[in-house]
Amino acid sequence: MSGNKMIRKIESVSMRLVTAFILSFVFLTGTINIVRSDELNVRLGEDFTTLDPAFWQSGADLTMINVLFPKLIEFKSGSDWEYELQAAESIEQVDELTIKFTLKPGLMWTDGYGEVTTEDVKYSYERYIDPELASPIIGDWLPLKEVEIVDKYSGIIHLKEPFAPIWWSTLPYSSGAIVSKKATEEAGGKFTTDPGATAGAYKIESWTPREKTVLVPHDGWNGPEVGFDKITIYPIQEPKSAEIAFEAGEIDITEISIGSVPNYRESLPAGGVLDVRPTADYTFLGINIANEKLSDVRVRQAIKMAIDIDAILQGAYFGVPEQASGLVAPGLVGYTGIMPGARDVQGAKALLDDAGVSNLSLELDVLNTAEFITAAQIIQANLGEIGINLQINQLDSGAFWNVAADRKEDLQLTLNNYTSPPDPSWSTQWFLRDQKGIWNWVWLDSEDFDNLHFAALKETDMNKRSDMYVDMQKVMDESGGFLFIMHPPSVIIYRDTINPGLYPNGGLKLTDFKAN
Amino acid sequence: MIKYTIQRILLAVLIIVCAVATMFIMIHAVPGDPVNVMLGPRATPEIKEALRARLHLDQPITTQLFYFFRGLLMGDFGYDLRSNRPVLDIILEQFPHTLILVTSALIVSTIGIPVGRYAAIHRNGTFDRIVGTISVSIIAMPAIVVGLYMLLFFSVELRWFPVIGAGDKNDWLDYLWHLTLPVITISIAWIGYISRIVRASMIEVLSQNHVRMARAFGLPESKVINRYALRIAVLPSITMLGVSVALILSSTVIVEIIFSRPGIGSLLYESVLSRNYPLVMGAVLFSTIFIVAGTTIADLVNAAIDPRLRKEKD
Repeated sequence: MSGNKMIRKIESVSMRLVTAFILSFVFLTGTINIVRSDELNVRLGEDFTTLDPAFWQSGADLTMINVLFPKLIEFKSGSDWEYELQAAESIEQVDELTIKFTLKPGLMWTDGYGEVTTEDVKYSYERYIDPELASPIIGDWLPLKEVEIVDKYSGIIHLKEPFAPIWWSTLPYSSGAIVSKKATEEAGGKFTTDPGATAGAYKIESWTPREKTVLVPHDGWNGPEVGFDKITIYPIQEPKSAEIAFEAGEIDITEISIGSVPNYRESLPAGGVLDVRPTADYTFLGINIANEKLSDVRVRQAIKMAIDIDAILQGAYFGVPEQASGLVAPGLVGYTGIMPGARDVQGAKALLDDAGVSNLSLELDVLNTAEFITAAQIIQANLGEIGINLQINQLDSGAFWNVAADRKEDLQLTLNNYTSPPDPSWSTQWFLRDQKGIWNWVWLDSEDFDNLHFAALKETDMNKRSDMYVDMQKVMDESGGFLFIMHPPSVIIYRDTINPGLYPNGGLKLTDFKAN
Repeated sequence: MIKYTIQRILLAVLIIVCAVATMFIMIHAVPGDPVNVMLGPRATPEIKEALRARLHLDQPITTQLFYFFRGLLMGDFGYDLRSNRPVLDIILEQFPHTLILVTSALIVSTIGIPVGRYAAIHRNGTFDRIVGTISVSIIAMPAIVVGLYMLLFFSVELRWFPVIGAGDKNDWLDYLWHLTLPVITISIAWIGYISRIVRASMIEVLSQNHVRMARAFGLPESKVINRYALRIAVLPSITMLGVSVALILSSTVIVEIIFSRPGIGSLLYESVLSRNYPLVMGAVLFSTIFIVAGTTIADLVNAAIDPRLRKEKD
């Protein structure tokens, strides 16, 4: 092609393109498709990557597992952590080591894999303790001895030792999900995105990775009638884009960022409902006890005393969350409700003087998100008032979550957010002595704490168990290594045409969504 | 021309190998543990070590690089650390979306050529002044701002265009509908750039002797403009379009995230954050090939339009 022809071609293509855009613009003018009442469009923060309950990792995985696989018991939607029967017709703790259950007959697997039976339950739970599976979530079923099959629908869970979290973070949580023995064995004993068969209220009709997942009702489901003929799940990473998609009418429910709450409280989109729910997660300042500069408890207590938590909640989190009293969130076993003392700059200075510390320079490692950086800057200003020079290290998530492994005892301060299901053992396990440098970034080294943690796992008396977690939080407080800031809320916005099924922490329970 | 073409292709291959090797070393040098990505926080140290060995992460970086290139030669791009799906499958799912987005943005950007040509011919006229002002304004606007305002105005206020996704691949009209705002977001600044370059270049060329000579010979003005002026004036723009492939590809990261579109840009972003090495390397490899192909094609087109370039190289 000669140069002249090429230039004319480029011009011609350009003009045609302009024309095409104008024509398509005119042709497509009109409103976007308004969602039908029997269809639900949902946003998740990312696409699912692993549907195997023994290997799930993200919130998207958990949401999908909860809707695709039945459990003997499942958390109710609402504001309190209570469970209800799902695949089980009855379930009973006979003694500390024995749980009897009976399945509801007639619950079918998809794709011709037959009925859900005790055989499937046995396989689903015992596979966790098979060393060959190498499940990272083995802890949920570690005390399991075996699941005894009584008949097609009845079985007995035998435990090696009492295990209180079984009713809170095992059976009604992801590890309680029942997978098809036949389909999973055909897949080689584990799977990622293709489970072979599911038996939840909805089944996957189609999945376009990183674009959308379409769920339709599973006709072999024997639970309560589902609310929608079709649920389309869109993975939208950026919360702002999700908010725009909600305002444009393309999605019916999404989690939004805390930063958007003030705007939405002032002016909610027509037909929108804002729902703010506390989670069991916890945000805290970790002060590394093993670091040379922080080895004196008076220095650590001075740091805690100097920080204005209310300023952080207002400045970084727009006053949405409440201050945390400790590790355990309200509504859970072991919640203390005892707030730490108010900020005391003079007291903090006196503690530093007592310790003979002056001109102290420290480093604070934080995730590079707006909220964490703002909180870090407030902490920097607070500590500046007592003569501590704080350097803020902003890290992306990949680097941040490896910072303790990289820096070990050199790590000083970290601003952290750990997630947790509704059992405090999930939270306390990270601060055991064998977790030092792994997830125990404070290097808490307490035999009492460890003993209480293991004892609480076996304690089935709720009052005694609660006291144990209160005691553990006292140990944490006295160590001076922890300043709990808040239990980050989950902020949801949804259309008033739907009645969403939400777990108490704001997680989506798609099975319970109904149209209004 | 054949010799020049072969030279450019060989150079392109060398650039791709060097870029990918550099990226491999860089991504392994930054802090972050892919084993945590795969197993999550609750895995035991034994399980983590076993996986580390299986992925060769316990080997020196040079050995890992060897395994990576050996895998590439055998068509094995590795597996996504989270879903365990083949990286090549994921890339081939995502890449067409980015390819279409970038190519469409490049094509739309060429609107700047006739705009610049017209502005140069009517220098200092009303059109020239308006285009000049608008061009400078839109060049200064970052894609993230353009994209968000496009969404707020055209999707939320007017509800003319969708917010989410790439649309139905089997319905070209729906796909085009979803493509419109992202393409405008990327190309709007490039239209401005290219129109300014073509205008400046045209003004310079129009004052050169060969153009005056052509006019003196009484050739039609359209022929003088298109054959003797624009043909020369357009060269810098074509070079720039070649280079712009890299810049446009980098802006797709933002655009794909804002518009929740699938594609290599958003995939790369997510993979880097989660230290999902195999996916990062797959995305980098395809992006590098795309960028190098873009610049190589621009060089070859330049050489085709301007024989002097071929002769210089030969």
